[in-house]
Amino acid sequence: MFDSYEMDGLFDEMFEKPGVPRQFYQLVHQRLITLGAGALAQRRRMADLCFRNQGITFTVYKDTAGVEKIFPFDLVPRLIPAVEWSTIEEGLVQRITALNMFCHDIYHRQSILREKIIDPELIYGAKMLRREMMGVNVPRDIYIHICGTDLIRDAQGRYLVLEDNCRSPSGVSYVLENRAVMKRVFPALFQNARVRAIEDYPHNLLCALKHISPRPSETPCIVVLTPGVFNSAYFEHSFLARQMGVELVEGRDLLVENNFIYMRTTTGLKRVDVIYRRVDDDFLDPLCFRPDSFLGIPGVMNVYRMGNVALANAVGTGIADDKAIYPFVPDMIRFYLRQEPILPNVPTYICARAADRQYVLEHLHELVVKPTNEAGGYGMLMGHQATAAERGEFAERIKSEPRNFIAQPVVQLSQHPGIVDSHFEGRRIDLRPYILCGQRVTVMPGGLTRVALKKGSLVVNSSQGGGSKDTWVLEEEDNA
Amino acid sequence: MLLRTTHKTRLSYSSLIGETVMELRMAPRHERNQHRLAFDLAVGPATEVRSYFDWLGNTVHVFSIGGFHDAIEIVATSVVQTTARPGLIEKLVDIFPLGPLDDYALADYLRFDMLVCDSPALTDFVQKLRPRGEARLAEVVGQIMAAINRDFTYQGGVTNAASPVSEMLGHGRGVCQDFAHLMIATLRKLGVPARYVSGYIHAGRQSYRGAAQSHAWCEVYFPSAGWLPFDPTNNCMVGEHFVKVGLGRSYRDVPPHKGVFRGFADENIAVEVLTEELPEVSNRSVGERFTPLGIPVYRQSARGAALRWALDEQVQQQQQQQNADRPVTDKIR
Repeated sequence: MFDSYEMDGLFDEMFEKPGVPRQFYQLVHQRLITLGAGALAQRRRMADLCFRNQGITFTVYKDTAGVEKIFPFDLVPRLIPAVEWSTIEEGLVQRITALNMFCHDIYHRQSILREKIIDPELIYGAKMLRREMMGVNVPRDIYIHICGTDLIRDAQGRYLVLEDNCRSPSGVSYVLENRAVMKRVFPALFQNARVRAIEDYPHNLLCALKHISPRPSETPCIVVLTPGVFNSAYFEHSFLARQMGVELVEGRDLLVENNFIYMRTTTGLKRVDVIYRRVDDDFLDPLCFRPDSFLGIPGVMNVYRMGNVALANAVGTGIADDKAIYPFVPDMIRFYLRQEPILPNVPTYICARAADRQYVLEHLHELVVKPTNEAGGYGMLMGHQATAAERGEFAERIKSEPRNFIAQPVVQLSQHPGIVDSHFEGRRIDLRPYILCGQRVTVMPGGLTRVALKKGSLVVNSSQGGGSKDTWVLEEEDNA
Repeated sequence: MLLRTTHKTRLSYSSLIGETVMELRMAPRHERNQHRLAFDLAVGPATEVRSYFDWLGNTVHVFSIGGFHDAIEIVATSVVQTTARPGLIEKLVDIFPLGPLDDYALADYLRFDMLVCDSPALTDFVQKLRPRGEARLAEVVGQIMAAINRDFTYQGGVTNAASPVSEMLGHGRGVCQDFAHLMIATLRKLGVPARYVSGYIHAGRQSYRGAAQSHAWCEVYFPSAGWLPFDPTNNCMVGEHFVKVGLGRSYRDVPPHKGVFRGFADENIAVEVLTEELPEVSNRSVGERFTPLGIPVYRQSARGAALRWALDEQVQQQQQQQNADRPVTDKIR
């Protein structure tokens, strides 16, 4: 089944060299071979059935074929040995700590601007800068409670940070569901492989949310605020609410009265302390932000400002995941923590800078151009695959709105074997670990490994036809 | 000068509404040339009013009204002591064009937005005024102010609170908000930071445009002296008969009132502004206080049938915005 497997000169997660699996993969590799094509196909059908029965779906916008889809799943797990993971974990903790300090700094003293570490024009020109948050104190000075940081591995196997998702990162429900399905499909393998558990994530999330309640002595009323059933991550919103045992609400279920937030219930109004909001800043409060929004709660910003309700993530964290600010995260780590960054960035050209822009325009054919404020892989240009016309169009857009674009060299993501028909083929992957910032910072062991489903493709976003696989962080003893 | 301003706003609705949340920017600023001695805010239906400073240093009062109601009344009364700064403008040494600015936050006052927007018409307008070579900034600002005052007709009812500056550039007419926006846009186009001020003007025995209503003007940044106020509607430096309330990048940052409610209703706004000069202010009236006004709220049973909207989920309306010296009953929707 691995006979025709090609390494293509890429970094392969499973194989050290052709036919030789890495030591920590031997158990899984052996098991896959022993099972054989027939049994694997059967388990795959089992897994598909699990997903379909549980209604684990996501929504693709602008897709005419049908809105809700099953998230494609690959059975072969991705393994991360304990030593590797501990470095990743340390790096992520360092990063979210610096990002939180950055948010607080930008909305208060702005020392990073005064010290000229970051060009103020980049901050003041950012769409996601919320001036309304200037001078506002957020509970316990935490801005980013939930962060999803995208990691990739280059041709040498080095982990690089591709982006930080500091607004409302999604995908964690698929991680939990993938694991549940894998446990059902490969029960014995789990027992032997010593995989670290991830099932405590909803509990940790709940703790992080309780941590910011304005009424710490009482049992806080926590809700998950969703934009509604048409949102691409609605499944996740309902999943997390259910797992945490809290209410799932829409904006119309909440109201402001006398500077508190209340939830309409069948027994009257109930005061709400913490809102895990999966509604963007823009739509959160029609009084403060977009007046045409029906998804938010009119007046919530005033309640928030007075400290009578907590929001996770805080308003204004978009400034920390603006792609033109991303190149400065290593500088933030040095500035705020006086440490060297543990996880490096991908080299990035900021089109707002004249010299960078010049370089980008001259090297469009070998760069990936990304808009600074989009997520989900929308609006990108893969320079090496694009037609001359597409490149020309992007060049014009970069010239007219340079602040809105950055460019990066193409990183050859690492590949991982996946099942294609009745054999294995390499597919590119990335990793999105989830980090929670509450009383302390906790990183879920593993995260969402996204897979490009097309051979050779570098785009793993689920909205662009990517799939996922289970991620196994191994316990210490296995690597001793 | 000791000035008392009474700003009455009455919002009435064709049917019952509920869950109103409102923000007011009606409290005069407390600054170097203007001391706020008293501020009384009366709101009805009776509710709890809280206040905070927004990011621009404006005092914002916020309140919500939970029960059903068909009218809201707001009376903001202030007493401020203002001082004039005569002769300042002649002493300014700043040269146009400005060099690099010392404070990066000034970038906010150089950027265009939805109301203070750039357009080909603005480019043409600025082209005519752009000085050749170096000039005294104070003179350039004075010429721009005079040109706007001369070339545009002061007329109500043509533009509304949401009109971008390009509208007045098109038809040549507008009110103080439009005059202020145009002066701001012109200066920004020339690289001079400028910002929007809302407030009141006390006419006394003189005839000022914009008296007995909300007024608006602009402030211009002079590196040697900081922000200085100019009123293009009246073609003058702002003096002691002006009361400064809100400060922002454009009108959008400082509407006197702004609100959202639930319900289907037509809205009618009536605004009255009265300014008077006081000989003195008594100790008793100094301070800040909130007073409830006797506007009724209804329980659902009072007019049950009319309240079918209460069950409808998508019924949420923005209150109209009263803008500076607009005829008091103009309708946007």
